[in-house]
Amino acid sequence: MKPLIELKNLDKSIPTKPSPTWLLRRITLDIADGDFVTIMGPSGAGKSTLLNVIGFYDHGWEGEYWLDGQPVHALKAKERAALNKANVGFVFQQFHLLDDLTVAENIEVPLRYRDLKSAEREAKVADALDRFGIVGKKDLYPAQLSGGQQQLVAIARATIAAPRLLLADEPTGNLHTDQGREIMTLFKRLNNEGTTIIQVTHSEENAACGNRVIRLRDGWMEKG
Amino acid sequence: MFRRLLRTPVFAGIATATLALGVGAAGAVFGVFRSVTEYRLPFPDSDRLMVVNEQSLPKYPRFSVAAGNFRSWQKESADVFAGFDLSNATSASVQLPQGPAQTVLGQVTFGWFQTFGVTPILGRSFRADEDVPGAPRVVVIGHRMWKSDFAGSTGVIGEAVIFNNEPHVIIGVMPEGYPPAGSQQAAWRPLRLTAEEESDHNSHYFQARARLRDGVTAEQAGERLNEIAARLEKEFPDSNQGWRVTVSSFNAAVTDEARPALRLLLGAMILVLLVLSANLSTLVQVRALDRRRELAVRAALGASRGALLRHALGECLALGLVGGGLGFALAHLGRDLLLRFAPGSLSSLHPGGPGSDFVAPLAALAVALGAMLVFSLAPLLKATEHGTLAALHGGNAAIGGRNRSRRVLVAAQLALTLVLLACAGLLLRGFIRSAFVDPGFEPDGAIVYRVNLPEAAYGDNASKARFAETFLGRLQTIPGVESAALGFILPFDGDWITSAAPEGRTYGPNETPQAFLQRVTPGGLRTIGYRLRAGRWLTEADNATSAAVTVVSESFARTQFGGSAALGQRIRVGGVDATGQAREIVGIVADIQQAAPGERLQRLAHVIVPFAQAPWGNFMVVLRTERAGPPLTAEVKRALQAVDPLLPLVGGDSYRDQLAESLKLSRFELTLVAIFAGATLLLSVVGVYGIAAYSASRRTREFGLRLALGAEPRHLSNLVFGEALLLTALGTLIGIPAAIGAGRLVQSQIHGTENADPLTVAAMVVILTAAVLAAAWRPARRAAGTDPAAALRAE
Repeated sequence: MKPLIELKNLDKSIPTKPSPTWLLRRITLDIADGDFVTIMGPSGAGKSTLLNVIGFYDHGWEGEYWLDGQPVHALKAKERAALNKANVGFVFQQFHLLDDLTVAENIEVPLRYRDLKSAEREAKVADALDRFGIVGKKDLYPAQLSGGQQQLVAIARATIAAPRLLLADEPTGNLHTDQGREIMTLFKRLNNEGTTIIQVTHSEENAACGNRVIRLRDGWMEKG
Repeated sequence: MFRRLLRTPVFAGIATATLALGVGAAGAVFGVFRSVTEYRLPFPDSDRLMVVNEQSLPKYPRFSVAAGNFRSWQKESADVFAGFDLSNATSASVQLPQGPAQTVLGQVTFGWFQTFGVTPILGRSFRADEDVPGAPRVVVIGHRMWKSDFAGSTGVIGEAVIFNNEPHVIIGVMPEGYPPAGSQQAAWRPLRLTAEEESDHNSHYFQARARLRDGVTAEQAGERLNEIAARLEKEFPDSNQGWRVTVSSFNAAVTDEARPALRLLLGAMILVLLVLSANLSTLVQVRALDRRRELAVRAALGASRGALLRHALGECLALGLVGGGLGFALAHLGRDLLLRFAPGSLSSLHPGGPGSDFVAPLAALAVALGAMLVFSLAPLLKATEHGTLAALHGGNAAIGGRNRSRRVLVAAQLALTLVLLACAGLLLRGFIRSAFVDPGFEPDGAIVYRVNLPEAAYGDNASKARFAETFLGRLQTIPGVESAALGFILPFDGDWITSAAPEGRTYGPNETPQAFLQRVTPGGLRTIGYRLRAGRWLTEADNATSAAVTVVSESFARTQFGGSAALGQRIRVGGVDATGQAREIVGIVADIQQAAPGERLQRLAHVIVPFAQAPWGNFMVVLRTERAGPPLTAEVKRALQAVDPLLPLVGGDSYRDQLAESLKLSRFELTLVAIFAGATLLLSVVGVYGIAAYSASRRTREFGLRLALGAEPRHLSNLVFGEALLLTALGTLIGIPAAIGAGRLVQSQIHGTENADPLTVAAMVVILTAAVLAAAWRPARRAAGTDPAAALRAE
């Protein structure tokens, strides 16, 4: 079966003097559909950079990147945006909820950029609120929620458009241990339901929730 | 302090330029305003100098004085006035060694100069025995004439100079500074009122000036004169019914013409100052927010609130020093420029006392700096109030936060800008209407001159008519002249209003129909370009011995006879037809614009009589030529001197220029308001740009996030444009009622403008919106170019 993600000799550098600084070096990697992959490594190893490249948020790289058989490296910006919209959801360490929107409105944001009618959007939001058990919080603002609840909303938002690939950058980094465990349980549930998950974490406990670990050091993938 | 400002050159530059602009504009306008309101004529104790006018409400709130009335007032007002005199001015020819010239000769009662408190620098002023009919002709010449035409010779006293073909003995030379600003009078002679004039209560063509006695107010003097006027009303009901007297300051009267424009300007200035303060407040608020981390560090290191306050004060003062300094220079320059390019008497004013140079710009600077300080303090205090931790940790946890007070400030700026734009739009519409209105004749391609026949040589009607006929004949023989006309008083050259009563009708006092009177030579109506609507033109057959006839304008025919039924009807024209006589209406012409549309008396109807049937000694010569080319002034001068070598010729401009001159004041008002509206628009655009740019920079992470959630770049620019449009909508909502109110104010102050109409306001909303979108364009583009990875990494 063809992997969902194929990276071949992917390099990423930033221009510095006298020579460029390499953030990612010759990354070659396959991720199958339905995988739950954890990227680990020390600070500055290139974990978030790799996640951003996979999530299409970083464009200045070289090499090949295939997503679901589509050559991302050869696509125009608009085509990449469409591919991203159709396939990718992103969860951040800082949650990044919009403070002046309610829980329901925050969850709805991705749908606003996906040509859906208002009634359809409302139905999907109601569904998500129910699925994540936050119906009672739908009219609250982010500042009125705990960290765990905020991340729950952020995950609901990331999955509202039913992405095949969920990317999570330190999703429990700002949470208490118990809240972190709840989030990981949720990730496992989503993975079991078919969502491919790639997470960046420092936590071995979180890594254990996945089925594969990729270790980075100074931009290189460690063998083994 | 300066070093820190230099590290933020955009903020420092915008704040300094805004301050300089505001202080400069406020200083310039207040400077002009004070120059006008505090203007003092250069005469001793000029506050006691009064202008005395007659008044017949509602038609004539201020009118010239009749000599008969003046004499009655003068006799009985010695207890309120230390001096009370009469004058009029006449255009006069003067024979100078270099040839005849045209000048303005003042004719004054003998005490005139004493009333003003000025004495000749050479010779003496008039004696009572020189101010009676038949007395030897004497003249006091002005300083300018003395210097230019008599080389400032002290031997000029006793010399004879010929004015209007009559020798006058020079008995005095007036000092520099007399006559007052705006007057063209070059010399003065005694008025020598005749017995007939002294008993005439009906002919209002004199100017009266008076000097109040110590301790007497203008109101008291007015009451005294009105007591006399009430008695005269009973004695002479035919002429004096409804006539009263006004006594007002001469100092204020000099600048009367410019006051409405200045009041408007002052209003505009206050709006600009408000916009300026709001703008600076937004700027400093934004800057203070950007500096909250620095302030928090300072607070964490032990800085007290007092120290932070001193810090903010220091920055305001540094900006004030630079911006204020530039503003003072601009104020000085702007005031001089405004006065130089101002029309009429305003252009000859000098700035007020030395205090006026500093008070206004200082006040503007204080208002602007005060606003800056208040608005920079709030975020500053906030930074210390909530502890330093959040700020030290970046304080950026919120994404997409809004600031209501900045929005309100910008919306208020936009509302004020809309008010000014609407005022400018109204003035522009009024001006366009004035400039492009159909004057009812054809000014293009016509050249105008002026000729003045001296009474001494042309004392009777027959000699005037003879001169007109001969001169007109010669003009028509000049090669290239297609047609020529003599007329008095033609459009845009002043006005002569007279009664024009249909025969057989009786009217109450002050109810007789009024009309502009014109006297025009045969064929002249066609030369000037009037349009015949019914009947016939005036011809050479309409001469002194033929039946009395007249041509009237359509509005006269319509209002008095219901239209073309006017043909064949008879009217009595005041000042032309003797009592009991009347003349037949033989033609109707299209309505004519006698004066600029901005002037009060423009709407009256016209009656036009043949020059030969009502000759006059001053007239305008209108020439229409076959070819465009060099002016014919030399040929016209030869033609004139062939008829009378002593007569000077004045003019040679096109009739179109005459119209343009009459639009000068409205152009001045328009320019001023347009400058202020433009400046306000610019300030508002800077304000919107500031808020949009700042807001966009604060929302970088939100934009990054939205991109990560599937937004496209256009969605982000739409967010920025949306916020700008929201502010515009809010500003428009507040601004429209204010603009309509301001429009009413403009209309009440400036003639020729109308109330704020939906079209003008809508047009200005469009301009404002376009300007706002232009201001938001760059921040919107920046938002669209957000790099999501970089934006989200910025945490």
